[in-house]
This record gives sequence, C-alpha cells and structure tokens, in this order.
Amino acid sequence: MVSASQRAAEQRSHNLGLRMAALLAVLTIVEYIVAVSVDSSQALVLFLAPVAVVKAWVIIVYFMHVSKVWRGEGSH
Amino acid sequence: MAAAESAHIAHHVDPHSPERVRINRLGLWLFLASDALLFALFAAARFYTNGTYRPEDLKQVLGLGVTIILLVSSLTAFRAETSFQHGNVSHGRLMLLLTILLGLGFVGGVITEWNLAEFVPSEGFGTSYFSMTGMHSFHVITGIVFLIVIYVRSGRGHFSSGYTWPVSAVIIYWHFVDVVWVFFYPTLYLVK
Repeated sequence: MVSASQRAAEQRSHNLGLRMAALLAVLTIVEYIVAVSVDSSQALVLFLAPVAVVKAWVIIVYFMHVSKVWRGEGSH
Repeated sequence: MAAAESAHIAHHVDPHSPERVRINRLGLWLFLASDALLFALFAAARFYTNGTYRPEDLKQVLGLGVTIILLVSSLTAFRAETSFQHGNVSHGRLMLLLTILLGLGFVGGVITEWNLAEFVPSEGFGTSYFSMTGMHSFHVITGIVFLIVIYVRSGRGHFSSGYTWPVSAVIIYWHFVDVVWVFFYPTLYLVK
C-alpha cells in the first residue's frame, strides 16, 4: 500500500521529469529550426555542439542521477 | 590470508545492501564510459571521412520524429523508475510498457530510414550513417530486451520490497542510449 506522502514525493519526481523533458524537447526543436535555416557549416557546428552538451548534461544529472556514484544511495 | 578473508566477506555481502548497490552502480558507469568511447570514435570517424557533408535526401522529418520518440521514452523510463522507487508498481509497469513500445517505434523509424535512403553503405557518408545508426539501434534493441526482462520480473513481484536497483540499472542504460542519440542526431542529420 502506497502512503499519501509517498504519492506526493512520487508526483514531485514526476513533475521534475516533465520539466526536464520539456526543456529537452524545446532544445531539440530549436536545433532543428536553426539547422534548416542556417547555411554556414561553422556557425551550425558552433551552435549545435554546446546545445548537445547541455542536453546530455540534463539527462546525465536529472535522469541518470550521476551524483549517486559518489554520494551513494538516497541522494537525488 | 587477507585476500581469502576479503573473498569470504565479499561472498557474504547482502546483494541488496546499499554498499553492494553502490559498487554495482560504479561498475555500470564504468561500462557506460567505455561504451561512450566507442560511440565517440564513430562520431570522430564521420567527421574525419566526410567533414560536415550530408546528403540532401536524408529524411529530416523522420530524423526529428525518432529523436522525439526517444526523448519521450526517456521521460516514461524516468517515471517508471520513480514509480518503482515509491512503491507504485502498477504505474511503474505501465511506464515500462510504454518505454518498450516507444523503443520499438524508434527502431521502426530507423529501419524505415534505411529503406528510404538513396545513399548506400559503400559510399563515404553511407558508411558512417549505417554504422552509427546500426550500432546505436543495436543498443536500443538490447535496452528493449532488458526492459522486457524487468517488466516480466516486476510482474512476479521482484521489485515490490524496496529493492529497485535492477530497474534503475536498466533505466540508466536506457538514458545512456538517449545521450548517445543527443550527439548522433546533430552529427548525422543537422550539420551540413
């Protein structure tokens, strides 16, 4: 049986996930729009590389919980 | 003597203990780091052999579509993990099932692109494209197999007692596959 406090904690986690996924979706759409509208290869690489790094960082930190590797279990 | 004692203690460490989970987690991340090097080499080879060239007939909408599918699957995987961790097994299983279906959708999209592509594996960009998407899809398929395994195990009540490390391990692997695509998508579809 799941308690009300557990449900609330689960909902908070889900909301965080939803916000991060929305951020990733926005960045992906921006990547696409810039890629189809910019012709310069150099400008594209300079724009797309940091955006990809930011997206990867969001996934690694918020979805993969990388901090648990050095902080141990129970950390978020 | 000390080594034998250590081996004896290790043999008796509870596989569900936080210390054991911590070691398992570190091992998983070391594996992912080594796997990331493989993917980085594929990406480096793509730029080395073809520069930023990409054929005009690459299906941009399909590329964006499979990217969004994989992104949504990361969200459902995240929800599955948090639901299991909070004891909500039924919702966790539903999210696992959705993740599996989205993963199959991604693989279907890649296969469609392979069939529609007008370039061939024997030409410069084709070599990079088919090897990168092929190796990535292989990881997606293995991730789907792992997801099915934990879906079946969760149905037998294996993760209802607070021990959810196997679920977390598979979900972390799934997110890793997404991270790889975060770099492969612009590398293959967007730079020009």
